[in-house]
Amino acid sequence: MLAANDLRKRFFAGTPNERVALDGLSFDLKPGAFCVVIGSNGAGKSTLLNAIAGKFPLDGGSIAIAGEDVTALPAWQRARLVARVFQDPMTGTAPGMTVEENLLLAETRGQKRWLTWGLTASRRATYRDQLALLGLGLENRLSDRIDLLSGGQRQAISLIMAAQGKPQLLLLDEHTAALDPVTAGRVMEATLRVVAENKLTTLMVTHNMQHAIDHGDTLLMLDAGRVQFLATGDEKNRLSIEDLIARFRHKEDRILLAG
Amino acid sequence: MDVFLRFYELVPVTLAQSLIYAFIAFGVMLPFRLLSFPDLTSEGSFPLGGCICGALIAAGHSPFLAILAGSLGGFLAGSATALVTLKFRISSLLAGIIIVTMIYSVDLRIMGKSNIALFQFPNLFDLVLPDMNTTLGLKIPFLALGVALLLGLAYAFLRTEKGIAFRAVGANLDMAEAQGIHGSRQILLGFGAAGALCAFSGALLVQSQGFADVNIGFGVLINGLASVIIGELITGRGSVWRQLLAPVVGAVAYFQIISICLALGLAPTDLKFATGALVLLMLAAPKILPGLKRGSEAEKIRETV
Repeated sequence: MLAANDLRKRFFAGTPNERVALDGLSFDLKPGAFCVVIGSNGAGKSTLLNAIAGKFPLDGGSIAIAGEDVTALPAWQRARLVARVFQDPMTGTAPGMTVEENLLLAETRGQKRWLTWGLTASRRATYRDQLALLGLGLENRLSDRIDLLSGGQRQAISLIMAAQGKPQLLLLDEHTAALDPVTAGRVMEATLRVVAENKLTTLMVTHNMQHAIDHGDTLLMLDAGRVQFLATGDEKNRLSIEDLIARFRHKEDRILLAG
Repeated sequence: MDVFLRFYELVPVTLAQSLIYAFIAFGVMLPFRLLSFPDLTSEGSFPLGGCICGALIAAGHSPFLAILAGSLGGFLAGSATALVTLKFRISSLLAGIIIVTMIYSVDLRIMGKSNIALFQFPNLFDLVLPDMNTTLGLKIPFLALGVALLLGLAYAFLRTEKGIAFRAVGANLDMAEAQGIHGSRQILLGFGAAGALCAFSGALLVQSQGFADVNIGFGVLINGLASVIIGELITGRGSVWRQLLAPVVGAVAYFQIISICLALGLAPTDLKFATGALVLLMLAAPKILPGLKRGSEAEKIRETV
């Protein structure tokens, strides 16, 4: 479903701030896979997601989604294949527009938009049902401006938005990290339900080791823009937090020795 | 009493004037507010529309064709600014100033001289109803109808699938692109539409006043901006409808304020200074007056202009 092949990206190339963000990163995901991505700060997790979403051109390598090579496509043309939920609830929604308008933007993601009335009664009814499933009372706030909602509410709506139209690939970029623990739990629950119901192929970046152990069928650990460790199936199921920390530590020991 | 009478006598004239300028005020609002992208091209697209229209009428063409051609010229001017901004990554403010400067020469080329009298030629108003151009009782309702049509069309458009996508570009460009909306194309079309409206306004003015002049554009951007800001103070920006209404309400209010100033004895030559001072004052109000809290309507306007 997703094939990342030898991805390379340097930021600020040719300046004293030059930084290698992706350094020959390769991996594949099967259709329906739920892959958890972990790694220390600067390992390249967010850069990887940005590269897949098409936020910047790569220096090298190729990306294919659902068998289609998207390496040369800008972000707006990849939108018919990829949906995304960001860490910051502000990033993924359009402030000043209503909840239902935001949902409409997501429903028409990557499709031709027409000069026809946007918010029809049937669309509103569908949105109402979708939001009711979250159990947060958001179904009564369809015509409220989305920037008047709390971060957790916006993030829950972002999730419903991302699932609209069943994207080939769902990118979750630490999407619960900015929320309080109770809300984060609710959004995580909703995430698992939405992913399972729609059988979405998912790439989820997290800093939460418990989430990395509990969720998903694939685990991808990044380090310095490369794949340090990839576990699937039984190997992933047998992993414990201690195993993960040991692998982080292994890396730190190397740094100490090198120092 | 004398002052009041003088003001009262000016009301019909200024009302007709303000309804013509309502189109350019709308054209100034569009990129600033709906796309969150500042655009100064109106200073050039307005006279461009007027000059194309004047030259075509003087050459014996129909006023309808002249207005259409003028508006098309404005569309190209607006798109040119957007293109320069998007392709060459030049700030849209600087791109606008460059295009405006270049348009001045284009205007002179089109007209062949700096002004053309149009009194002896037919104009739009008289073609629709004989003597409308000289009868304010007919002209004002006709112009009001035109403005209402613009507001209705704009509102209807912004509620379609395409219109909601257009607004998303102004609300959050990254989010819009993540939903598959081609941001650059929307900005190009938005700047073009704004330019067409400004040029349409210029073409109306030229026919209303009976002459075309390359200098009619001088200061119209600030007039438009003043109208938008005054309008937003009156209508607010809480909904799409209010945002669309603001430049029109503001244009009417602005011309009445100007009219009061004239009635009070302000020399017409001092108007540009007065308008500039008015805009500055309103933008600076939140800093000068401690009573206005942060987050007030005026503060929001200042930060986003």
